[in-house]
Amino acid sequence: MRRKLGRLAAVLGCLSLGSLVLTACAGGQVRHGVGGPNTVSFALPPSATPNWILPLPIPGYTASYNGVIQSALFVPLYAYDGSSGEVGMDQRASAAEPPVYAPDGKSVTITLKPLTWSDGMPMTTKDVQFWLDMVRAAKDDWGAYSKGLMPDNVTGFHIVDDHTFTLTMDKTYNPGWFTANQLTLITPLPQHAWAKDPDPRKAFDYLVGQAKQLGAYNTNPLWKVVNGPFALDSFSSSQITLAKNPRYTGPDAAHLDKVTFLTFTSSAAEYNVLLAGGVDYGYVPTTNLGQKGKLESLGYRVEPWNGWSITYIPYNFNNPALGKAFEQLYLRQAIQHAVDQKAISQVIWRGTATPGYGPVPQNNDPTFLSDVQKNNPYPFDLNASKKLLADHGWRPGPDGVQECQDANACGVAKGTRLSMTLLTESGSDETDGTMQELKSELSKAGIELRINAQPLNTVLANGTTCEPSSPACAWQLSYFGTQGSWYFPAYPSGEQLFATDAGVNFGNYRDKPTDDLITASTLSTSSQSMVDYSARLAEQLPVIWMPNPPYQVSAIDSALGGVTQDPMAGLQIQRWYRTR
Amino acid sequence: MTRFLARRLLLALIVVFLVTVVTFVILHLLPGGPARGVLGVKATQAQIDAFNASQGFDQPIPVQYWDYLVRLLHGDLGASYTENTDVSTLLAQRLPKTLLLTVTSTLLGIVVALPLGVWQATRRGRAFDVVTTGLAFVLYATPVFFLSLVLIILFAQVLPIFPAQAAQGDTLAALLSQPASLVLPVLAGTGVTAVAYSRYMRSSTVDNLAEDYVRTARAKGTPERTILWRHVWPNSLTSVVSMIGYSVPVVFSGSLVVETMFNYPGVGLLFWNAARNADFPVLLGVVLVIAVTTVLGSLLADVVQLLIDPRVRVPGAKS
Amino acid sequence: MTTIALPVRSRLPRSRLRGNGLALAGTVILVLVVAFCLVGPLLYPTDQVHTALDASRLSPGQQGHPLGTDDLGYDVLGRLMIAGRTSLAIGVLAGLLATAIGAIWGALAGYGGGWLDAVLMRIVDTGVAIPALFLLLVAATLITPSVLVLALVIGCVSWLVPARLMRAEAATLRERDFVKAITVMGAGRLRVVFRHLLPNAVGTLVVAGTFQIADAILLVAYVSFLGLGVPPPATDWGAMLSKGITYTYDGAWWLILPPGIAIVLVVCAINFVGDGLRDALAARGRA
Repeated sequence: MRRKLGRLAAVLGCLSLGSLVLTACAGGQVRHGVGGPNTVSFALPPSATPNWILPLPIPGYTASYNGVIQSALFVPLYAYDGSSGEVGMDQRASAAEPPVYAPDGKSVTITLKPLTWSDGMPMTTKDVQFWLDMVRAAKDDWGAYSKGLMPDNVTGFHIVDDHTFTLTMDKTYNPGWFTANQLTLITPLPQHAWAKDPDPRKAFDYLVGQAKQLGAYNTNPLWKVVNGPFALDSFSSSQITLAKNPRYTGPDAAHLDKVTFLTFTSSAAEYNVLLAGGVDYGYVPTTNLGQKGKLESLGYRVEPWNGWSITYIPYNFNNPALGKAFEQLYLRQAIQHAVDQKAISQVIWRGTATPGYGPVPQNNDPTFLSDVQKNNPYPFDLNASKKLLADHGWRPGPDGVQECQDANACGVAKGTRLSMTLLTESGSDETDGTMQELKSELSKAGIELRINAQPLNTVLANGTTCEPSSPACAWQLSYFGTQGSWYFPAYPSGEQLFATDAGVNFGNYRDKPTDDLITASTLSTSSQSMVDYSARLAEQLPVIWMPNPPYQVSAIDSALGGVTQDPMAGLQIQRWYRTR
Repeated sequence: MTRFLARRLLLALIVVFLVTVVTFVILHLLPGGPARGVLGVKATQAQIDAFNASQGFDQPIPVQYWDYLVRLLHGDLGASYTENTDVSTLLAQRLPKTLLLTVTSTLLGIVVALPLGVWQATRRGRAFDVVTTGLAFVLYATPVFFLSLVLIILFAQVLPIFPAQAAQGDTLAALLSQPASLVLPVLAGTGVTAVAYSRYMRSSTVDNLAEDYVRTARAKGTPERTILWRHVWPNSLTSVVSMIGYSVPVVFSGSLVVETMFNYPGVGLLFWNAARNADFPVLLGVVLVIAVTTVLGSLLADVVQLLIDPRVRVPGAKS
Repeated sequence: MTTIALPVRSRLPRSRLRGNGLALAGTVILVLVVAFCLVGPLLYPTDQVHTALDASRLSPGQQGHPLGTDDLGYDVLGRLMIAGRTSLAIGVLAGLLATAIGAIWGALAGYGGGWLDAVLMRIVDTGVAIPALFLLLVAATLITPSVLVLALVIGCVSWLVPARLMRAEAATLRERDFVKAITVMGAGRLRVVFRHLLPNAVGTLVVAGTFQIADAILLVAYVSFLGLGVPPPATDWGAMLSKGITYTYDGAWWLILPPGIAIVLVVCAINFVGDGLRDALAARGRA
């Protein structure tokens, strides 16, 4: 028996020794610049596998990194990004010269740059027409379609010559808005190689069918015809590699030989690889920000990447129980006074979130930001909340929850209690923490907030526009968690968010002055309307304004230059270079 | 014998069928459906309706299930909503990696659990036994995620010997190219299997010790040690196969946690991510695979049990 | 998976005493832990409802917090106590529920035999083949978790093992003379199950119940770890551990070790007690 015991111990001992030896031999850790000397690896956010190479997004395939890869291969007509320091048109990355609008604002003439497709054919106006024809024929299946907007608002397409064309619109549009939000949707496509059928609808269906075959991206000849600074080198579900396009003829050529996009199933996974030096441009999960010093000693610089976005909690103005209460401005003000944006940003988001007080991104660009929004009309002040409620006829009940004592003063039925439910996304520690903090502060003001955390799917299904009588209107407040931030196109107008009956106006906010300001911002040539709109909604509180989390906190190899963290969440990989 | 097998096989098929029905129904009872999650916040009602129609969600549930069954019999497990790949491809990629983890953990678990279970049942009262019994109890009581965490802290941070996560990559080769990264997940997995198996072994040994032939042997004056190693131990060994067969669900649950903790790209992690993203086809596919494996495991265990039993019962067969 | 305990004849009386010693130790630990969780907050009151962001993530000893604070400023020691209340409550309720359901189900199957047995046990097999996590995930989206609801859900997921156990026991008991006699005398099936089979299996059931409680506490921890537990600010040990894990790299050990050790300690203690009970049962010399 002893012998058997000894034998067992020997076996176990060998196993452990063996594994130690393996560790030593394996080396295992990957180094910086993993693909070669002039290459860069970029970490994609968790579960964000690019899955669409065709620059014609369809619903379900509109993830932002699809756009990054598409723009690197197929130059968009106009590119907007923050690469210059402020969000604006990136002329070098655009396929056309800046547009020339007619004085009446109803038509625009566009001149293409002399770019060439990788099979030698030049890019011409036929390529733009091809795009327009397909989008017109298949607009209901096109991912960027909004009724009344592109392509509905383009009534005429007139070819002047191979490189110039004129678009006629159905009415006068604000040129800033139209260029930034509509013309940017257009991408010239290689008509000579991709138009497999004269019928645009059939051509669209053919291309979509080909794009659905991910396994064939490496070999399909369609995807080899590109005009951008990069071409596709390899595509798999764990990494996508783009290689410098030697046949690019534009002004924005790539410096690097290759850029690899790595996919990860969780941010913890990516962080481990980052620590091991296996990623050049990665991100730090917020909870690991305590390790900033360690990352810097490993040769990374740590910079939050702030997005061109706002974050908020909508009120459901159609909710039968509390809709009328929400319509009272003083109540919304009392609630906003209970949101401690500074503490939430500093503690829960570890200093990486930015407080936001209104409907446009809270950076300092005076084009859109009003002074009212800039200076926060409703600072954190629980006494102000309590006073507002007391002044309007509310008294705390025996359980501490405010109850309406006087219908005239409150604006709602007597006996109404301020007890509301917030439907929020589960699965994020920061969101959970934020909601707990909100609940805690509101309770001190006598407002009871019940948190109902559900998977994102359920929140999305149950927190949308509804009629008061429908059972779908049971929600009172909702928060899509990590998707709660609304990322704007370059021109942050509110026609989708805060206009009456707008597509994403989930809470059914209705305010005529706001509608007028929004219309002016998209349909007139005035630029003051955006500032007025920012001021109005900062005061009117159609939603609860919340701190805006960063797009990510990046850890970038200090040897990597040319990187600007674009608030529009794009990447200009052609401008990256290595200093060593 | 054949009739027995045939009947068991039929029952097994019924169980698998029932599992798919239950899973399917439960998934489709979830409020809202996956449409919004897949299409995003900005999707219009028309796009949602189109999606639902293309996936067949507007049909009554029995019809949907029938379609699913028909496609299943043709080998079509559907396509994932989030990964733009076939479910069968995903499973084919991930299953070998989970098998690597579970099979290695199983083997190591047996190596640890067999002697442990037998010793515990006999309780000889020596210092070594006390220590191992104590450790065994602590291991029983430790949730596997806590164990994984302790392993990460001890061996990836305090003493940075092993990486804290498994190597990424589509193929098994990619995983094997960094064997050091497999050590901690396998250790955690072994924690799961060793616990499950030693409990089973202990009960089985206790049962065996009470058998008549043991009492006879004792009455004959055979030393306890000989009884243990010549009679009890071989009989316990033969139930190893049954034990493995019955413990498939436990091992799968354990591997799910281990894969999540170590970011091990196997079926467990696939399942967890699919659950968070309401990726129905993947969920159904994985549940099917687990159900089939569990049922096959039980079947195998039952068959082996039956085959082995008659021989074992003969007293004094081993001299 | 435990099976029926049969007499263990050990040569060395010392080991029997050691077995009792472990059970005693287990009982003492349990009593202390229960006291800690139930009485603790009365002796050491802390605010576990309101956040305190200005006191977030303090290490033990700072500002009068013996075990420090967590990321929202809650005192960890106080939180450990109320978390224990939830974990223990759900564990005990779920364990008892699982044993009760399993016992009745198994007894019916084992005594009934024939097609009843086959059908009931096939259902058990199906239940075993569906991953419990899946059912829990689905349940989480359909219901709002609370102590009672979670106990119900976990109990409904865990009754399978006691069912198999009870079925085996019932099948054996069915062959006993007194049961045969009663059946011949015309007693109905349910009557036999409830008035004769179950009472005669009490010993086994008590032991099984004890181990079920231990397993339920582990399962609660597992469920909360995955984020499907009671909604905050209520918490349990698994949820505390889950939050603590996100701070692994920060060195905030006071968020990880206390809840982890609490779980291990309690489950260990229950297992000791269960083992002791099993030995006591065996020592009564059931043939």
